[in-house]
Amino acid sequence: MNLLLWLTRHPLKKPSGIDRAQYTAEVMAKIKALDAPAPAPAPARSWLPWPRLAMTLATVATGILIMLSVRHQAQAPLPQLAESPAASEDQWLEETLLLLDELDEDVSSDTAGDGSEDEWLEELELLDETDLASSS
Amino acid sequence: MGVHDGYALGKSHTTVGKAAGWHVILPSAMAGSDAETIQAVLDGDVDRFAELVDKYQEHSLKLAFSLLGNYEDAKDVSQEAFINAYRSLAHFRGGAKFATWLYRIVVNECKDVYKWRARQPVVVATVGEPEPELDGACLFVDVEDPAASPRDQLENRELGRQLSTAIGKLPMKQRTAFLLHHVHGLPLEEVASVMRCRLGTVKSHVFRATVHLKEALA
Repeated sequence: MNLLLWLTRHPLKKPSGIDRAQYTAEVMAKIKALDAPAPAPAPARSWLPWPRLAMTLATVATGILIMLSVRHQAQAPLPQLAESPAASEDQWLEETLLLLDELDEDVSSDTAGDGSEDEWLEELELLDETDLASSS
Repeated sequence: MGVHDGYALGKSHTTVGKAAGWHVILPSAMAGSDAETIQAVLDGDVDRFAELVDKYQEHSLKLAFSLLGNYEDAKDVSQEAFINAYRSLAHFRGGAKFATWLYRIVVNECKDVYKWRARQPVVVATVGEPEPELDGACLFVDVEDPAASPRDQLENRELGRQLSTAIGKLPMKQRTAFLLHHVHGLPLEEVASVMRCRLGTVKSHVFRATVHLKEALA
């Protein structure tokens, strides 16, 4: 038997019991089900007029309060910043003067040494004499 | 546009040539090329995909039936193939024919069915029950030959059954190559394109399948 010849004389069976139009309709229905948009989300609840108005007024009032407070802060002198330097400056001056006084006392006591004014004058005279001797 | 006498497929038709004094009814699928139809679908006219379904459903069904052996599975597979083709239509490259591309999808779907069947528990058939692989179905038309004796006609019918069973026992690749080439009439190059393998491989599959079938029928 020639197999290939036999095949040419005996074609494949045609689909039986399948309606072409129905077949196409079934495929297209499945395809359109793929393309069908997802169910729309629930619509957002619309705001009633009165809460919307109240919210708007509250927002405006809050904004005005914020602006006023900012401007007030900008114009008013800052008490701590304005006063503290002066106070600290006075205090610093006072402390410095006290220190200088103490220093003067120390210096005067140091410079006074343990000798008297007469000794100091004698030393001056000696210095003068040595200067004269060297110049001559 | 050529004249295609004898096309009366589908439910929608287009009349052409009225101005020239003649008219021929064409299926709407033939009124434009596949590429034009595909472009229209891609542009959003989904309904025009029905033209492709209408045009190729018989080929698709027959191919699935020849590979699977029963119409129920064949119908499901071929419909699924159309749906997959629609899903992937944007990836279809015009270089290949739509039919070739669709056949490839059908073959892949059939492979999936085979894998699914292979995972099912084996049912031991008792004597007299039909072959499980092809549901005992004969793939081929019984041609009534008036010149043939009743005995010859009976033998011919029996041969058809044996051949169907033998085809069902072929390895999947051999069966696909053999059916596409010798039964569905695709050129070997197109078979290679459908199966995504080299021409030499297709020739080898077809040759081996033919040898196996001849041995089975000897």
